[in-house]
Amino acid sequence: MMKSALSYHERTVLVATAVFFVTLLAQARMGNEERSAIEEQKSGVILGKVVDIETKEPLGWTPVLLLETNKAVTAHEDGTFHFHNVPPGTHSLKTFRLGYESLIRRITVAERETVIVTLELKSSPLSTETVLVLGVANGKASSVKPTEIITGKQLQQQLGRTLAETLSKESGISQRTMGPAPARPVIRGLGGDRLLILEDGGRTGDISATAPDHAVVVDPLTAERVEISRGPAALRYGPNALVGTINVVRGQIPSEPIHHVHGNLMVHGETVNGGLAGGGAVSVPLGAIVLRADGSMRNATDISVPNGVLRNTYYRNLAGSLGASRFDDWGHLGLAAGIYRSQYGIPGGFVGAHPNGVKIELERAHLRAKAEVLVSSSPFRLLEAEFALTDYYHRELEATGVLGIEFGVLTYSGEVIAQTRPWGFFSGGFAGISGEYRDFASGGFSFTPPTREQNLAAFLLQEADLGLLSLKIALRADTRLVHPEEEFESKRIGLIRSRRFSDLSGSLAGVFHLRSSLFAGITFTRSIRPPSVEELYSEGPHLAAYSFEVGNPELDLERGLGLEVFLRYTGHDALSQVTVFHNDLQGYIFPRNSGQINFRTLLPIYRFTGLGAAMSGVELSAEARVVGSFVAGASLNYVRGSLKESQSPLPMMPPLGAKIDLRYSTSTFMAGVVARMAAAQNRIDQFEQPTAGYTVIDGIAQYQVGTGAVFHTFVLTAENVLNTEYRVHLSRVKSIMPEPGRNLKLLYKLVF
Amino acid sequence: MKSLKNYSFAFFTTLLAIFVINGCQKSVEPDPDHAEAEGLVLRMNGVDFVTVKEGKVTGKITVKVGTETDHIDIYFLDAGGNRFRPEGSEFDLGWEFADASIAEVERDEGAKWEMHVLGKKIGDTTIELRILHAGHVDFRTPPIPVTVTP
Repeated sequence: MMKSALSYHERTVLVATAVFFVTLLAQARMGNEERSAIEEQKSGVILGKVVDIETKEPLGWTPVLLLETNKAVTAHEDGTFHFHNVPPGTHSLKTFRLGYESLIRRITVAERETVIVTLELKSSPLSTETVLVLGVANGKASSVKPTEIITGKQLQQQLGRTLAETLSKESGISQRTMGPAPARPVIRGLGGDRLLILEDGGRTGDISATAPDHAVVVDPLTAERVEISRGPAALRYGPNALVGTINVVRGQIPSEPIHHVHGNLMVHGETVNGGLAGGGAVSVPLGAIVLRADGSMRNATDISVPNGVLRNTYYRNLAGSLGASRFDDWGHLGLAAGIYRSQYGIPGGFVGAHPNGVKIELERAHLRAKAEVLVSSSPFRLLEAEFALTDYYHRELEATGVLGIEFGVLTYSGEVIAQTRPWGFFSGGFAGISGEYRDFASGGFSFTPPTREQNLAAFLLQEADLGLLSLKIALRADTRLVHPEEEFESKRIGLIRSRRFSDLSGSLAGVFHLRSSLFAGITFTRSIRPPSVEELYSEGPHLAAYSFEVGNPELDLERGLGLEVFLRYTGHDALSQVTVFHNDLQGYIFPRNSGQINFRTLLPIYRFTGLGAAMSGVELSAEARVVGSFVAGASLNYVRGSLKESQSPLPMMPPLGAKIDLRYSTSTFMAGVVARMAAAQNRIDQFEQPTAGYTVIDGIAQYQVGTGAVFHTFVLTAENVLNTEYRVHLSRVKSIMPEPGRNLKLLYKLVF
Repeated sequence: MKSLKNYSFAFFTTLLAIFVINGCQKSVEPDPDHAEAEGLVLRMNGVDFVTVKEGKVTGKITVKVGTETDHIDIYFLDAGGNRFRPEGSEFDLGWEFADASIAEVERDEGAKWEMHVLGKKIGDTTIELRILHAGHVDFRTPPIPVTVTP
């Protein structure tokens, strides 16, 4: 049973939020002078309209992003949109819509200037939403933003039970699972905190990176968009994002003033587990203040597989947030608070697992405050300051209700970022500092000592446009102190003591504009990753992970060197990209099955180990218009991971994967079929089980229509149409749990 | 800049309140003093009749239907094979039958590490014995066979 009353920390967050809102509202009533401040701003304004390039008809409900400031709006029903408080300088506007080519338009905004822009979209059935954002302007590559953005129709088409399942429909992204609820994405064989998951640009505060049974506390249901950043852009958020970061943008703190009420409602159902989910968000203008609220819930019973029903695979989630921002001529100040509660089962009944599985209950409360201040006379054009507090609690219970283990993590974090003006041959970028304080404790049958961590970082990112070559460079310095409550000699794992880890990370990316539609790019990355508290000091059973985890206090920094080269063609009737990569890791830290059993708990012993490792691979994707509005696409991805010394395979490496799809797409309707394939994975670590290959067929249809001031979206999805029994190599419960059987999903979304 | 100062005041006042309130938060209470058991011996009438060592079970519990076994003493084994019984009010014996309709455990009052097994129905089942410690399990045995005979 989930608790019905608010927890101590949730009450704290809500009280603090209420105090802040009351203060803001009181000040909003102080006089008309301040209320009209947004009309008197000194910064620039962008007023725009999105239209069809041929018919000049307005394209309402089209998302528009101002990339440099991470702001996004949705065009009104007449296609108009606006951005206020735009720092003077050059900016990139990006827009995309079902049935049209995505568009990036570079514009320059002077101080106090109002720029009027028309974004003309060209119809195309190609799926151009998740293209690499290259910042192409006037036929030249003008900036390097290796970021993929999944939004709008594509996010709705791919919407799954978890963020990882939603992203797993993307080429090259796998998911590590332990049942339907706990899942985390894996890119190029790397997951955990090597692939940071962020919510509105901040850490989620959960512990999903440390164990396969821990769920991510972000529900994709209410996401506005998902951004996957790689290379230099990822270093803003951490030194260890060798394969990138995943940022789920929910917009809990409003970033743009609005003039009337906006919002959305969504309902989602599926047959494979009787799952029902619903959610929505609403934003309300109140003078110079914008108030925002969102909420969502999910409820699902045990999941059906082709040969029956898997017990203890239910889940229940509840999430909500309140936010507000005050806009003025100097910028804006906002605050948001939210809660997330979840209860889910981990299936049991296999070797090393509890016969009836384990139940996990978790809750998170968070508070985030953010300020943006425009600067008129300095090397900087915009200052951003952010503070976040996250309180996370999680416990794992046996089927009988007996506690196995519990975790509590309290995280304070803050950062200050200054967006820089052009200098030298750099066209802009940002510099910043960040700090984090994390208080970790575990209870129940746990020997991991309470530990505090402090992290300080300074980072710099700059872009340069050199004609046909665009460059982006990022440097970052980190120092992290991991400080257990007491120092002692453990007879099993050694001297438990404070450790400090300091080093530099960096990334350099270049994109060459070879011909009119042909680009080549290269990225070098140096990453560092301090070992986590669990990797250093764990010494005990982890109930729901079905493992006895043994840490190593002697572990050193994990250092990675990554190289990526790509070639991309973006024509009107075809898109294609090939990428090859190689990541070399020194002291790669992973839990390795020792083949031993802990006789106190009868769980297999996993030892955290730091060994040299290398991962190489290739990713291919292509799509082309076949005839009329019919498009065919294909993608393939492969990664091979080995321990460098022995050349033996790394555990939990995804097999060769591929996807073929055929679809019909117009500006309002899309329908298609997709074949998802994976080869057998027989290249496995000691004590790891091989997995057979599979082919699974999915179907999808989507319809969008606007009626007056309301926009409707319907998505019908049929997954695993042939009810194929198949297993995924990265599932920790694959020996008992095939993937879900035939599943019909229906999504309805209303935007107003 | 006047309004900026106003909001800064509101902002930092709120943050201060959060820090103050969270300064006295409740937190997870670690308790590292767990029982160090790695095995178990069941002893009845002066004879060790079930032994659990290195995750393997030797022996079984047998009882006639409608009756209960004689008094069974429970001893745990540490990593060196030495017998011990956890001391302290926070420790207790826990158990779970695979089929609770076949047999059940009865304990004499105040005898924490002793038990009787009662045969309820003819058949075979298993019992898992545990050391309970402050609401969690410090040690568990593999399933120990239990047979209820006519």
